[in-house]
Amino acid sequence: MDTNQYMGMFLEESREHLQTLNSCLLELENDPESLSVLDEIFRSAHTIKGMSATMGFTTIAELTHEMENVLDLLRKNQLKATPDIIDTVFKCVDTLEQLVENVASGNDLVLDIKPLIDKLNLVAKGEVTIQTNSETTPQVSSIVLSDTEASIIKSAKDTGMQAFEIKVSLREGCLLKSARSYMVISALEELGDIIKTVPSTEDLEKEKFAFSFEVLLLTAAEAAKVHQTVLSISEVDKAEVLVCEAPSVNYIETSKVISDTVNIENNSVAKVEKNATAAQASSADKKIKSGQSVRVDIDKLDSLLNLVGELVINKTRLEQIGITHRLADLVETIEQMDRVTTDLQSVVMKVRMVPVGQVFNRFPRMVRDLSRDLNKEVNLIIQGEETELDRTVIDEIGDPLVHLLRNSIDHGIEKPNERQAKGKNPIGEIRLIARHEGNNVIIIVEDDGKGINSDVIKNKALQKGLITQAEADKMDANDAVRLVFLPGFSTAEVVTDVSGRGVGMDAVKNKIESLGGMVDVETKLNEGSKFKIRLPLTLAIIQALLVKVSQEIYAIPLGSIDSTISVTTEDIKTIQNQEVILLRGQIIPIIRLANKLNVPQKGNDSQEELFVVVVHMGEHRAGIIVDNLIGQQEIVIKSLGKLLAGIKVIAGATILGNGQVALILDVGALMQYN
Amino acid sequence: MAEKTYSGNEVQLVVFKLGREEYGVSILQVQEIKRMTDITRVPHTPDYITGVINLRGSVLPVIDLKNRLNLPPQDHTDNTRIIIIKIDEIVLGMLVDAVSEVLAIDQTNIESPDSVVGGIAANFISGVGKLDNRLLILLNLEMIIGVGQDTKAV
Repeated sequence: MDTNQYMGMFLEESREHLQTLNSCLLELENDPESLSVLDEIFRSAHTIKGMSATMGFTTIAELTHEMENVLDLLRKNQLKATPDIIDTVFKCVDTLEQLVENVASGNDLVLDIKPLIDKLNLVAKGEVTIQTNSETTPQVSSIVLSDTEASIIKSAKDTGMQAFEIKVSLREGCLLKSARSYMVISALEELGDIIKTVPSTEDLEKEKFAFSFEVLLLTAAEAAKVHQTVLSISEVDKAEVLVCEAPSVNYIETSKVISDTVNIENNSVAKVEKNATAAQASSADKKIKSGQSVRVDIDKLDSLLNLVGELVINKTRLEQIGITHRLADLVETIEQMDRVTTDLQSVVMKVRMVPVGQVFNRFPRMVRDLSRDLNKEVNLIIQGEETELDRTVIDEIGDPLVHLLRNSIDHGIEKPNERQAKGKNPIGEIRLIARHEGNNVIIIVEDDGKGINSDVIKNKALQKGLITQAEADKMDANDAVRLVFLPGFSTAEVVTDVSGRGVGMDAVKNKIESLGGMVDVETKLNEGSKFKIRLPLTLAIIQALLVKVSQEIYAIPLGSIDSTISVTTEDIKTIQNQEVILLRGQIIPIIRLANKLNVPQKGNDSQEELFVVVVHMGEHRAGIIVDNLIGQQEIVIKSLGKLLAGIKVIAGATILGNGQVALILDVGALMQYN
Repeated sequence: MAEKTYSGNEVQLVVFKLGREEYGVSILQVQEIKRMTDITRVPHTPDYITGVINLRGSVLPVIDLKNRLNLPPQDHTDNTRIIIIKIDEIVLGMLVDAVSEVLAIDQTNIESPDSVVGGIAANFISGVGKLDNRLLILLNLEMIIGVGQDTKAV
């Protein structure tokens, strides 16, 4: 049977079930007696077993089978769900995840599941073993040169260049591997030409590698210099620089061992990969998802959205025709069509958005594992997981968040006894909060740990020559703490020396900025730290209030609106020529939108009654005077494009139901330029 | 001059009117031609930017070509069209009085702008095409939308 066509489905469903397993196991840990949870776990495991056996992935099937045996005993109450057993099952799920991902990426790593199976058998018999070392699969790979590449190296030699084979190993547990590898590669590119990388740069970008990769570099620089360059990038554990003679006997010998294994498996892998990449292409590296879903290429959604837009416009045209020619039947039909298109439009828009919970849902497990490893007690509180973000952003935001969470647990939260000594709750608290704020989505990672000592950070940065003494003197505590985002600040020694973070914060910052966002940190010694990520709402859907000024319609994001009130002209007072109103005892400056936006006024009927939209940005408040309030609506934010980029007070545009464009106000800028 | 080959020396132009003058842009830069539609004014933009329109779900800026070329303004009529063009990944609309036809003109019949116009918006003109007894003003769109070197040319 040709199973390739089912590969996408297999991967998708396996990931879903593995996610279910993870969350159910967490539940089971809290409530070991719960039969319904056990049943759910059992069902998921069983499905995975069945699917993988059908697909011919015997390793997965075998491991799941053994796991099922243990689960069965639990279910029949012959075994108690002790932490040890749950740990073992968790480990199985991890291994299964890895196996599934290996299948997905066409990776030819063979995991040895024997120790795990033994362990399962042991716990099944009620024996407890302590075996914490997770087996590491030896990483061997090498560069196989093609004829052309060999000849390039040869000819380069004549011009005084040399080929180096550089084996780079990232520190184990390094997050944002792709970002790191990218940094290594771009650093090397400054020294010379990169002929080849193993795995390919594409795979590196997709993080389809363990913790090491190889680069073949053609350069005039010395080996020592190359070595130094690579090591200067944080989180690089090891770098071996070998001179590559092409075609050299030596070289071929070292690579031979590997190329053998590669060749053997190449055939079968190539086939799998074809299908796996097809399934993956649309989804890049989305790891885990919950709920039933269909994977759709985002481009298709884009064109769907555009088509619906066109439909709406044509519908309005029909409407016009119906009205001008007084065709009652037509008008009636169009009214129905109107309802359908409106629904259609909102559904299509929503399809692009996914709740941020999809990323968050893998964190409880991670926090649990990590806090346990570090002998700390941490309570993770997640808020606003229903906040929706554009799919593309969701895919990218996971890794930086993992990084921040790990930092919080590792360096922020103290050990229970330390916390007790400080008079804190021995159980640390980490809050992961997502919410809309104006035109942004804010994600906050906040802990109540020991905070970051700005003086230590300053000293460290001085020592490393990242800032000068004069700069250091000028810095206040907040600026100093932000130094952690500097590239080169983060190295392993800092983490041990400094009471604070530092592992790869520059990588986090890079990633967020590549998404057009910002990351900032606030900290208070002994009270905790707060990392705030601000992501722009490109393509996001927000709730907005539509207002009318003269004949023009503008949208004000609901997130920044406090209230709307109506006042009379007498209510407006002036303080030093600044118009203000008094609202519940608070003085609120007034912004006349018509003046601010130079709206052409038709006639000069000054209204007695004025509508004021009270907005806020941070602590500040202002009242925006408009002619009319139209109503609240969900809108999709669209960019105004390159040509009109950088217009203050306008954050973007949106398309209304009738196909007209309405501009979205940037409340922050509006208040600033008041 | 150069030998005559059909494909090599002919350019296809979309010809449109601004007032009484006839203009042309390369058909390769034109994406489509639209009837007049609702244009939303955008505050704090130069005069020649009329506003933005919705083109099948994307928001595009529209420039008033006559304003840009310092021609006297005129009310919109039934013939008013928006020509959607694409230059360097920027898609935008140009408001014109009427679109008349698509025609091919030989390179040899295009004169460089320096020899014809010395005055105002010379920067915006890439040449003048002679066709029987008609004159077609060929526009340099890069300069007009300001992705050329000098944005504030007027």
